[in-house]
Amino acid sequence: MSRRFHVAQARPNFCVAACVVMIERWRGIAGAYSENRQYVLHEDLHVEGFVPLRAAEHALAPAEYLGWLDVDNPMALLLVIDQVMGGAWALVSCVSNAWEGLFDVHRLTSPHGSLAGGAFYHAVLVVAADDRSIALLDPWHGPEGQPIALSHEDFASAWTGETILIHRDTDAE
Amino acid sequence: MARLLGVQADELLDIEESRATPSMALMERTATLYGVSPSALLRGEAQSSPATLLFRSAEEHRVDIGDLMRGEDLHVLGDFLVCASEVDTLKSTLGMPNAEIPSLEPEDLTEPEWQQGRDFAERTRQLLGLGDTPIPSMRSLLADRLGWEIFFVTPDVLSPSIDGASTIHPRPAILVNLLGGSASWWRTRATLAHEMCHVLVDSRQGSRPYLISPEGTLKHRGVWTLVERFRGIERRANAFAAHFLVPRRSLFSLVSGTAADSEEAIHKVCGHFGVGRQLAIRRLGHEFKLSTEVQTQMLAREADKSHCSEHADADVEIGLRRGVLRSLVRRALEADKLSPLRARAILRVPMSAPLPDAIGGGPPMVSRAHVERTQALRDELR
Repeated sequence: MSRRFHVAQARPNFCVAACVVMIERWRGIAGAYSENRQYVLHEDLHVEGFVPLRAAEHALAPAEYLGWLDVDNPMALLLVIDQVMGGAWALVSCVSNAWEGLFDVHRLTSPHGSLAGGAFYHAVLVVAADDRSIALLDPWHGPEGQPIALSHEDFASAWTGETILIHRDTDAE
Repeated sequence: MARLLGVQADELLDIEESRATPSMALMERTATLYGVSPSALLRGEAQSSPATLLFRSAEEHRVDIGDLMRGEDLHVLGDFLVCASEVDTLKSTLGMPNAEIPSLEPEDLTEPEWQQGRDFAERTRQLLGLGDTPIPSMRSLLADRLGWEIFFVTPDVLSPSIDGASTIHPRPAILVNLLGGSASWWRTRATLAHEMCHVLVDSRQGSRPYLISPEGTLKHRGVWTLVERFRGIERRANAFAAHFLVPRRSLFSLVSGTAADSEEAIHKVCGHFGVGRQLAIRRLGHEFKLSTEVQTQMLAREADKSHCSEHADADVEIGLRRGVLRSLVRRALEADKLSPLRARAILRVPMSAPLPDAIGGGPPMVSRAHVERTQALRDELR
């Protein structure tokens, strides 16, 4: 179901902007289908060419920036999973090299080539979860095979801990 | 609150007003203080926690909880609630039966507290079909027969001023502070019986919504307690424990022909009912109407105060996340009804550590290198 919200990032450094557009589509916000929207967001949010995850918090209000959760604490990942199981989405960042390694196995490709040579971290969206796996929308890769299902272990091996929780209902706060 | 959480007041204010983000450790500490998991805290479930009542009441009366109780104690009590809740969820997942709570009809609560405690003890024995016989194991009675949970901690984590605590929600559970170590099993039995009264009577009547009730002095306004009549409630639970462990008729027949104030009588009561010297003297003093002065002399007397070191109630596993919780996690993992991630969260096993052999073992979920890499990235981007 969540595949219809997927958006591929327009440029190699647009992962956060593309994720914001996916969230806007999920929330049914008009105009979110345009690729131009990614450029506008990137222009508004970037710092020296990259958009820090935290910068997206204001563009996504109401959203909760949870900061850098401790990836060594199992309750951190469980907290994200429980929130997603309750209907939220989570915008998270992953270590690019580790993320790329996961998709060698899944044989996913991207028009932007290898993720490993670019930014040190990469933004993706956690859109569903259960007690064994989580489902993600990854803007680096095309819509084929999305959402991507990963085990908790695979996701944990790439997640930086940085997380923004997003609720679909914009009147939630 | 800042003091209880170990942060500066300004820091807490910044978090409350969304100018700063709490660390995972602070979020965990806050959740534990309220007796819930971090996930439940984010869902707003702390609003119905017993700790919330404590803080609200203290706030209304302008009492500083930090002056009355150690933050560490509140965290241990909160963690006890978290563990009781985890046990409840695991037992439900494993299809295990619910706990049994014998129903005691409301009594005439205008009677003196000791009389109420005695009556409740007699009726509880009757309901459980225990007659007047000694109780071989309080642990077995509560845990195996009634399905209640029992957790043990030591005074190095919980202040010696707190003997124990109990809760009825989400299931009956008792926390015992092993003040004399696990070898002081007679003390453990007395604490279990005392807390049993709270679960059977006080928690059900809603008169004891929190596990403990600190007392604070209000300027020009006397004493503040969270629960009214708290001292009376404690006296009743003490009387319950004494009468439940040492029933009247059995006591009379045991010491008949022996002087009630003799060492022989004390020794008989301790050995037969599995109680400590102090409780034995109190029971003898009460039933045989020994004066306070005589009881004080009996307590002060040089005597052999040793107990047998082996007893069914001496065999305990210390730590909230050992014993019942660990064995349930193992069972749930073996039955494939619990994910390794949730098992780690329940037992607080770091992601970069292997799962303990005691729960079946298992490799780390993330490498130590990944943990260090993300910490470095976080520091760099800060």
